[in-house]
Amino acid sequence: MANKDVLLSVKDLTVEYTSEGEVIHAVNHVSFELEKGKTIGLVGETGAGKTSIARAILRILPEPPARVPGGEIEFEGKDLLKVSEADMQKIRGKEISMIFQDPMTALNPIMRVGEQIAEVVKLHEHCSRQESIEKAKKMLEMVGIPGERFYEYPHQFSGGMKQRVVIAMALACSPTLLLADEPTTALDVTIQAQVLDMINDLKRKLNTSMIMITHDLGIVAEVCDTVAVIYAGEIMEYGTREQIFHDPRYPYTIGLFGSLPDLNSDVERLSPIEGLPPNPADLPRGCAFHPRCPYAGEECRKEHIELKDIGGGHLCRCCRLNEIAAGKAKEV
Amino acid sequence: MIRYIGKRLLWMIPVMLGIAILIFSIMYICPGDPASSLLGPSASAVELAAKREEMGLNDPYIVRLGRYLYQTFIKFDLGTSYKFGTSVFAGLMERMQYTLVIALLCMALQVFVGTPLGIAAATHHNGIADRICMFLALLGVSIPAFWLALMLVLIFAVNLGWLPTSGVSNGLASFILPCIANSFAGIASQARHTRSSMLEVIRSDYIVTAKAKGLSEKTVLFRHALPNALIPIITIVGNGMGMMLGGTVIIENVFAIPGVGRYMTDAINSRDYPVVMGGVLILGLIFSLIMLLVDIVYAFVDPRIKAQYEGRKGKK
Repeated sequence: MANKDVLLSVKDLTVEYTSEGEVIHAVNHVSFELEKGKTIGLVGETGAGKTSIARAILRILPEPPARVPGGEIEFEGKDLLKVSEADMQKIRGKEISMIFQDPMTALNPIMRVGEQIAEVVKLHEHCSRQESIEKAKKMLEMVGIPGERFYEYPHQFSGGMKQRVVIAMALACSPTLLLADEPTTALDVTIQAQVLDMINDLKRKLNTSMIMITHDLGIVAEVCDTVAVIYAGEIMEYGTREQIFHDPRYPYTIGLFGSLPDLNSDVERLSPIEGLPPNPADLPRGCAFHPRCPYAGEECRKEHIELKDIGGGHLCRCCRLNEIAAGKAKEV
Repeated sequence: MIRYIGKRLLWMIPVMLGIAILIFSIMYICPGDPASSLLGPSASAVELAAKREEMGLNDPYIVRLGRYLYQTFIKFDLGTSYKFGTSVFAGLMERMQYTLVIALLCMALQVFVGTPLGIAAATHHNGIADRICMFLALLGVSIPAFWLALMLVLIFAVNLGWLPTSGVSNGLASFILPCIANSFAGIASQARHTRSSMLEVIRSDYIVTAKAKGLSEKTVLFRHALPNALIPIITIVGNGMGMMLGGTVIIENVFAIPGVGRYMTDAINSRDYPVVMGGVLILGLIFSLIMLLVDIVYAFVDPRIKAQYEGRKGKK
């Protein structure tokens, strides 16, 4: 993976929350790299720590209770965890920006929609107010909203339109890195496709790298180049889209694909992964997934398992790959 | 918007009628005889009976109520004080200036001291500034105004001699102690409300969005958080203003300020019906107007509420 075009390199990132004296391990030693113009998908259940990773990169975690006790986030040669708050403010919105999950609450309800876009333009491009308004109108039109709606308020917009405003805001200063935190989760399926197409288009036009956070494997298939499967704050499996989709190895990943409804077979019920994600304040010993894993054995409960390269940059955090392969062979 | 204001103004007519009927009925039920308190204990039974007849106190309830409403709402006359024999309206207006000065000064103190305290507490949540502010706020709501007033008089007027003990003859200096004593609780509650409202807003998603844009902490705080946090506080300020106008009785008594509060308590004691009823009516009117003002301010601060006022027009 040693590539000179690496834009962002996250090493050993750890995020903790403290709540009533309990330490919640939201993100545990996560490392990944992202090349220019590429998209990485962070896939996992609610509460797996995906959003915390994105917020840690942008340093907008609520501190306290959140804390980043360790790790490095190298972005264009700088460690974002070490730069001053003032420098960080210059990076936020300009070089790295974020699309938020819930469009209904992500916009300031008492500020004109266009004003909220113009604000970020004016801040980073140091232009006149008039220019920033023009640019904001252009951004609105780019995401398919007529420019004259600049002067309206968020409550006059539908959910899908609000999400487009959030996207327009994130893209207004042509960031080099875009953090998309479940950008389509709050939207209708019909709008989802539109929004995804739009993000893809804009990404191509502006040559933006992207971290796509989602639990929707369909979205991953559509937009991501590489995929990291996150479970209990750890990367469990990491590989190219093809590696993950055609050859999932980690039991959780296999379970994720297994729980997708198959249009070709006539089954009455979906096959979900049994059980619930572990309590992040009290993670199980050994492999975090072992209590739910159908292949778990003795060794899974004992020691923490390391990510291993299982060929071609495909990483997997599992010690029973042979047993799983054998089991799969039997099933077939 | 103008239609909305017009509608609200029209609505005040039944409200005022209701207040008038209610206060009249309360005074009617109240024991006590204005004739005897007017003529004093030395008056004979014959004199009293004649006085009662003259004042129309012997007429049935409905006749007296009708007469009162006719006089108030058709002739716009609040009547004459039994005790002073002067116009109630003029009496109220003369005293209103003092009450108004105190109320406005107190509100200014409450808003301009309480709000920054609340903001400081919220931005240093759980820090030392927060604890100090909240301790002061607790002190503020627990200390009775009259005790604080007496202590202030003792320290600043009696011992140090910096300020007058009572009366209104010394211009603005006469109002310093009353205003501090009277607004302490208001400052405290304003700080508490601002803090909790701010804390709620600071945690909302759009504040994170604003931060993610790269705005400085100050800009996020004053451009995004504060305007949102102030929306619920407008009501508190409006309410406080209304309360202050009618509720400065204790302070007016401690500092011997001839304001509306004292005028009315004296009137209640001497069964001076026209003064009591007129005073309640005027205060009710002012209170309603302030509430209308609060709602109008709301509309200017929050576009969602403005859209509601304007009906379906302009709304998707």
